[in-house]
Amino acid sequence: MNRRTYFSSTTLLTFLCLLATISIFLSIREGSTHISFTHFINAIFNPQHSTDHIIIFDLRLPRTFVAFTTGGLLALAGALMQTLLRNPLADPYILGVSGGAAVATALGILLGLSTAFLNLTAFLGSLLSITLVMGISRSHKHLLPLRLLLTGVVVATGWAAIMSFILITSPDQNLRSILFWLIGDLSYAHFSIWEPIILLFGLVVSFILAKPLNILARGDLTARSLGINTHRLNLILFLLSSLLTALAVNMAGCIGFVGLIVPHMLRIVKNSDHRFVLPASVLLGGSLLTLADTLSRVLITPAQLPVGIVTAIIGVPTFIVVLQGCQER
Amino acid sequence: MNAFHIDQISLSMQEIPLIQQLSFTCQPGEIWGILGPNGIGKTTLLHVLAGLKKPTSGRVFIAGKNILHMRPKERAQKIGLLPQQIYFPFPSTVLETAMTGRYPYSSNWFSENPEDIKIATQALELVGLHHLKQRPVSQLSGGEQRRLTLATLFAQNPDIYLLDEPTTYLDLQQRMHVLSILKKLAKETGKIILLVLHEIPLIQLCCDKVILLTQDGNKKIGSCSEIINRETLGTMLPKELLDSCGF
Repeated sequence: MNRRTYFSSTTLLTFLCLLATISIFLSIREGSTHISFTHFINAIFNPQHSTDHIIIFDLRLPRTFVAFTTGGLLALAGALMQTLLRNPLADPYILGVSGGAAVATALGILLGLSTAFLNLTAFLGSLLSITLVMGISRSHKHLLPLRLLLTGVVVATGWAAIMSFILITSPDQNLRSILFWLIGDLSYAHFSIWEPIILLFGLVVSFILAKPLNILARGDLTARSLGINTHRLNLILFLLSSLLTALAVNMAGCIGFVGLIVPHMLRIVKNSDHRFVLPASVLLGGSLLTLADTLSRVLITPAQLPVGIVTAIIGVPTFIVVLQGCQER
Repeated sequence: MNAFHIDQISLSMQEIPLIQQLSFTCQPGEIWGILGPNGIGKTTLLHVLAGLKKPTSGRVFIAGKNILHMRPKERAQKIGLLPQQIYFPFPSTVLETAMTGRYPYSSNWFSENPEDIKIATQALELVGLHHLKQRPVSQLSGGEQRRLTLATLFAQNPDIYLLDEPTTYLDLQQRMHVLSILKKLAKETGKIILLVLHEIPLIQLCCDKVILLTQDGNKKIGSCSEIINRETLGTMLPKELLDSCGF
């Protein structure tokens, strides 16, 4: 951690924008159907409705945007949750927040609710889950880091069990796949304009609060003695991170580790300043999930891997490294 | 500088009454020591005095103004707290941490005010950490982290300093150094300083007034020599210890 880069935040953000562009380009370029480069260029610039054009604009482009948005949502939710819980290992998936949203959504589908209501039930599910984790792990008003993680893992396992129960006992064909709910899959995703808008909204709100968040990260007592209204700020973080998680789960199921590794990598590379970490999380989270999704589409063509498998393969070792680093402190 | 007035404060912790009806007034330039056994409510008292916790009853005033009616940032410019325990969950450097002390004064969202950086650097110089400015906090020793927290408080530059066991983890030399900084702050700039301290010799060295809280719920307030003597301390300390302290 003492070999931090001396690139400015602006330079790093510019680099991340470039990475985002590359990941989006790769994602529409690559896929189970091979499109040669000339055909690719043709399909993009000649709006005649060739097969290639349909593949790129009707299949790959929406999916790419969904992947990018989901990655951004998860990374931002992770960064905010880590500050809310003052714990660099917090993550919507690990703490069972995604699981709560997933169960609530599945129940909503069984009740025949419309998409808008499904977002609402997912939101309520993630709120319930994070309240549960915070409530159980709080002892004598202190959040003990390991107790929090342990509680989260237990709650997540509980949600996974309930989810499996629902899937096994319900004959409902609308319920999507077990892989979707338990590990995350982008193949059911439909592009809608609302998720990117809410992601942007979440980013703007938290970005405005970046300076107070920097102080809040030092702990409740210190933050309050430095003039922060911690109750209000915690509430905003609580609602915002739950909302972002709920949207991500509704689009792609329970994808793990993006919310954990992205903010953590950024903190190591540059610093913990939220003015940098928040926008950079959205860019890096979006890029990573887009790249992971591209991999999941081309690795075993013509079949597809659920993207959650790819993120878990990257995420688990990273989690262990992070945990190791935490113990050294 | 203005007087710090504590009016009939009573505290309780989870409905167990701790301190009852405590009143005193600190004048600018005074150093107050708070002495008492563990669990008597000293830390809770400091949190109440900092406006972070509501007392069961009673009020705290700065220059006639109730601290609970102040805006948080305004209060943070007047009162600063050195907590007993500190932790740093996220990676940051020594200077970045000291800079958080300037938050109550910050207005510019995008960049750090050069004046604030200067003040934070001076605060680090004061505690002898300026050569570690760019070092990650996680690499500091316990004593260095304690000094960094002190530097953050010096950067905050409040009128009233509330310090909860500021000498913990510090070696003897550093203890003396920190107390001399505090004495200088009080005498030269008229700051009010309240310390929770367990070391009686250190209290004798730097405090003008002492609040003694005893297990039976009594309290004694007086000048250092009125409190730090065999009769008064006899109520709370074993005889052998008093002997060894030379009372």
